[in-house]
Amino acid sequence: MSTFQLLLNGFGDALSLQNLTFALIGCVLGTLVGVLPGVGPAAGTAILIPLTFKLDPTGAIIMLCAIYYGAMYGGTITSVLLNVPGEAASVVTCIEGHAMAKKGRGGAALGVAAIGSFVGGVFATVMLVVVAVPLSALALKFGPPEFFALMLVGLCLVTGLAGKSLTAGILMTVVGLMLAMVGIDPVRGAPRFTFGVPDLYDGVGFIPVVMGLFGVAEILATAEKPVREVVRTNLSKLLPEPEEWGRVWASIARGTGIGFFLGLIPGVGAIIPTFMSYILEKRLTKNPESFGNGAIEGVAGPESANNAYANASMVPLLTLGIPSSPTIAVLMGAFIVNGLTPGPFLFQEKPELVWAVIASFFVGNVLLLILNLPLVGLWAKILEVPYQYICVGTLLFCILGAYSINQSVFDVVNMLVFGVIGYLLKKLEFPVAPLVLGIILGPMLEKSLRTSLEMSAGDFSIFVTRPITLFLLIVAVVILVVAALQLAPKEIREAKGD
Amino acid sequence: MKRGWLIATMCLLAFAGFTLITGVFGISWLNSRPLPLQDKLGPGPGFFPMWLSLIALALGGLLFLEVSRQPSDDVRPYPVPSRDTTVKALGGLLVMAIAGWKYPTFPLLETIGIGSEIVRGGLSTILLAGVAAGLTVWPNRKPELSDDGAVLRIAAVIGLLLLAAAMLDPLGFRLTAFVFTGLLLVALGAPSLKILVPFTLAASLGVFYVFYYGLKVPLPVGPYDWMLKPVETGAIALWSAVSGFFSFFTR
Repeated sequence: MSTFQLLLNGFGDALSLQNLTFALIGCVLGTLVGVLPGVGPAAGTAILIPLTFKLDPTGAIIMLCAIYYGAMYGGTITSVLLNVPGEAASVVTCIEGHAMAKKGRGGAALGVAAIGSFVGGVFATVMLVVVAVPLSALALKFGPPEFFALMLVGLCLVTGLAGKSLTAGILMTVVGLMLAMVGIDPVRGAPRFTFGVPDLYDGVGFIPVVMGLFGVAEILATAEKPVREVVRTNLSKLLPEPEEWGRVWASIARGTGIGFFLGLIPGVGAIIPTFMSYILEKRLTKNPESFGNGAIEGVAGPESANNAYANASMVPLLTLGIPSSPTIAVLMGAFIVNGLTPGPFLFQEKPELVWAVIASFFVGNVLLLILNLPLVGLWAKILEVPYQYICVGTLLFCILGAYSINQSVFDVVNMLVFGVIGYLLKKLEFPVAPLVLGIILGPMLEKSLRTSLEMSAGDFSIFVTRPITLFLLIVAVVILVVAALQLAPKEIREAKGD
Repeated sequence: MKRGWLIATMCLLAFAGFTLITGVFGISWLNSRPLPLQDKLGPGPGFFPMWLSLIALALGGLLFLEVSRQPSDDVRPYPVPSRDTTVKALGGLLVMAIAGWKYPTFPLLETIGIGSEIVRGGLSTILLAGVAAGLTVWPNRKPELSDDGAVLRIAAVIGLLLLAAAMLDPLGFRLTAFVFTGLLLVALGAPSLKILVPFTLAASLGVFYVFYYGLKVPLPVGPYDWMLKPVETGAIALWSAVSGFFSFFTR
């Protein structure tokens, strides 16, 4: 069957009343997650996984993906109106978006962001359709050494491109990999670091850890400094001035390109494309003095990049089975909870599910445009809910979510422990994203490394004699060297992870 | 800031040292045996732990040198409480932890054989809620932006989460959610009763109803199911009757 036919079948599934409802619920919940400061997409998706336990896998995945890119849309609203990013990728939008809001152009900022996000998301999904089949066919030829090298590239990118200290980044990755060793050894089945505690045989539990590091930790930080100020701005005029359209479209196109290409590379993280796009817009603009004072390009570019990235980062997940950011790692966890392993085999084993999910991305982007353009005033109202209710509600859902994974209080305590650790690290500005990716990639990395060495009877030369492996390992080294010599732009180096 | 980084690095070094020792040599009184580094087919279960621990130790040492060479700064990343507040917060956390882990099941009453599950559950609820209320609500009645207020709020969140974890299995989700949301809302800055009561009810009974019955998420029911279930069913019946009534007349 051709790709087009598969996609059409996918649309048939995605547009069924049931799946359409799931997509809508996901978009609404996702926007809510994005709007609420303190709950990022990673924690939001993790908290909402239990919602999907009893749904059929297609509906569950459609809903969780919609939560993910819905949160990417919704984060903008908080950035513009509160000057607080609803999620990390909207940090840049705060600069120009909030400046626009203060000048009474908040509506235009949100409108341009929604349109840019829509264009970025749809373009990235079209490209996903185009590259998915060839890429997964290529990935099927990969053996354990190639996968090992590819994951290493991803980990190097996460640690090398984000964070204040490269050493701290690598250290946190290694600590994440070490935490992933708790439980049953993925190759031989021997229990490790379980200390006779039955709960530890399943491992540290990735979902409670994410809820703790990104959910509870944020709440603790909010509880420390609960003041915020909503800017009242004019939301009746959602479109930019007629003479701005030309510049806006150009920014959207550039942002979309940057976001899409960076989304393809596992490990880049959501924040880097937005910063790159912002820097580019600032360099290309004809009136640099407008930047910092509400330049509309500074909203249109990064927001398009943000959403193009969000949809493009599904490419490495679906075709290679490699998550590129903590949020995508949570989505991968959701696939696994539903009995699916993302990766090249999924296209062969469950094509109807994969294509329904891909088709649902188009549906979701349309739904989000509707939710964010005419209904933006409604979301702005949510920002006026006092922070206590948001904190308490989020924590309650964290308890519920953590408990219901294994019906065990152990996971709730686990979440709390990592919440406190996450709060302490967050305040120190210690990198946390590498830790999370280390935990999710740990078992896969170890398995591929050890199977490779079994293939070669313990000879490490297997990693340099295979051309693709060698190439990927060189890329990994280059990334680390670039990071160590601090060749990347300053804005990117100072950006914190997902 | 610098001191914080140094302490964090030392913690990570200690962690790496611990995994190296447990992985390679094993610690018998912690039920851990040494993991084989190599077996017939290739690298064994101990291969990754040993190498990762060694790498982490090296990186930790490097980071320690890197940070200790940086100039000291005056940036304080965390709120610094007064001595009174520290005692209050730590004491509160300690009492809540002990109350949480010791009393929900009332081991003493159980061994003597006094009271049914319901009586024991009731007693522990009153005790836990009383302890938590006393510790979180009383010292922080006026939430302020000072460091002391911040530390008390953080302690309230952590302590109540611990308490909730302890209450979940013996007392069920509804009661836990009721106590948790009510007390935390008050601890974070008392809202008016007009909002507090419906919010707490919705968070406990409403959330349970939606997730347990609607989404079939397995949640602990606790010893009060015989009492709470009719209340829920009644409330839902009343609500559907009222909304049906209105929709009939507004048509």
